[in-house]
Amino acid sequence: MGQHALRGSDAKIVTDNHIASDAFERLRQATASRPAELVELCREYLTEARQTLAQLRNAFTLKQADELRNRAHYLKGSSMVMGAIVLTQCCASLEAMGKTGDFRKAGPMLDQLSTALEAVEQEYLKRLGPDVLPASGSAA
Amino acid sequence: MTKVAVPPIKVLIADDHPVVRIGLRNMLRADPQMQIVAEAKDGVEALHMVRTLRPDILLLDLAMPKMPGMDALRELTTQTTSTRTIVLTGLVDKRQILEALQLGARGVVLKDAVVKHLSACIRAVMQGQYWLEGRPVQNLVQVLRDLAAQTAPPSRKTFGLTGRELEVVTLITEGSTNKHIALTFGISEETVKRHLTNIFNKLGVGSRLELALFALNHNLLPPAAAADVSA
Repeated sequence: MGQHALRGSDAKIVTDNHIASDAFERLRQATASRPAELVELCREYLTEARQTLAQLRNAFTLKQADELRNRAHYLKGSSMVMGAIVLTQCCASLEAMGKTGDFRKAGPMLDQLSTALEAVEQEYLKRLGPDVLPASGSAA
Repeated sequence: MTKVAVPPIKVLIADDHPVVRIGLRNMLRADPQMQIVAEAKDGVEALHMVRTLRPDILLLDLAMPKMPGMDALRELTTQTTSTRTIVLTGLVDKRQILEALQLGARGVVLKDAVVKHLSACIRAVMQGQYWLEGRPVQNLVQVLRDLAAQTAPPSRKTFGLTGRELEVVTLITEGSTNKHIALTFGISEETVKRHLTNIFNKLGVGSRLELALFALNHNLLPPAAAADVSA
């Protein structure tokens, strides 16, 4: 069982479980007769997560608090639905930082998000095979 | 005996997020009782589709471009529609939940719970129930009362001032003279001075300016007066 800890927007997120098993299993069951759709959904999610991570990094570099909050909120939504626990937590932290305009811990949190995204990609790769990876670029 | 076919529940998905829409679509398509009639990517599209397609259920994201979900919900209250709305949200904001329910939402589902609860929530709402915090709600009135209590602004601290003294403070912060205060309340200027002495003693301030600043800093003014003063 994974361990999750998140205390406030600047807390380090500790976990060894990146995808909620029940969420993934329900999605798998829902697409049991159309397994390619689950692969497509996860690939879409990874593609979008990579793009959003780049936008978040850009917002951090330019110190654009609203953009940081909006992009983090956006990725949080799909991460919640996909059961990507750590990614959701990282996004929630970045969203809070965007709200307050406090960027001091945003850099390390973006690194955590990047690591979490790589872990999710590896999980999907293990469960669904190489077709799940987006066509271009490497993880995060 | 012939079996009567139960019509499917017609669902409209409104979320600006393609991955969320695909995820919801996949989940609901696996349920033979559900029929997704359309997907909207903003509030304006959602309203148009509710009017034209008349779904049984609208799954409505609150944070959407063009018209946020809450505004769409508000707009729906002005229309005659049988569509029941279930709000999808990324965070537990009690004030927002209360507002959504007051605007006619029949259910609120956190996005990290949609995989687990969405089908059950839709069925409960179709049966006339409300859905909150992962389960059907038996007593909506009590829920609304609790939410209202939890989201109410903190009451004004009065520092032992009487009602009349608080009224005097309000007028002082607006720049009223003793004469004006006396005229406003139909009392003598002497009585106003006595009120002011009591107020100064209770609050430990020494001048009208100090009093005005104290009142502003300690939330001593009624909301309308505070807004006027700080505007």
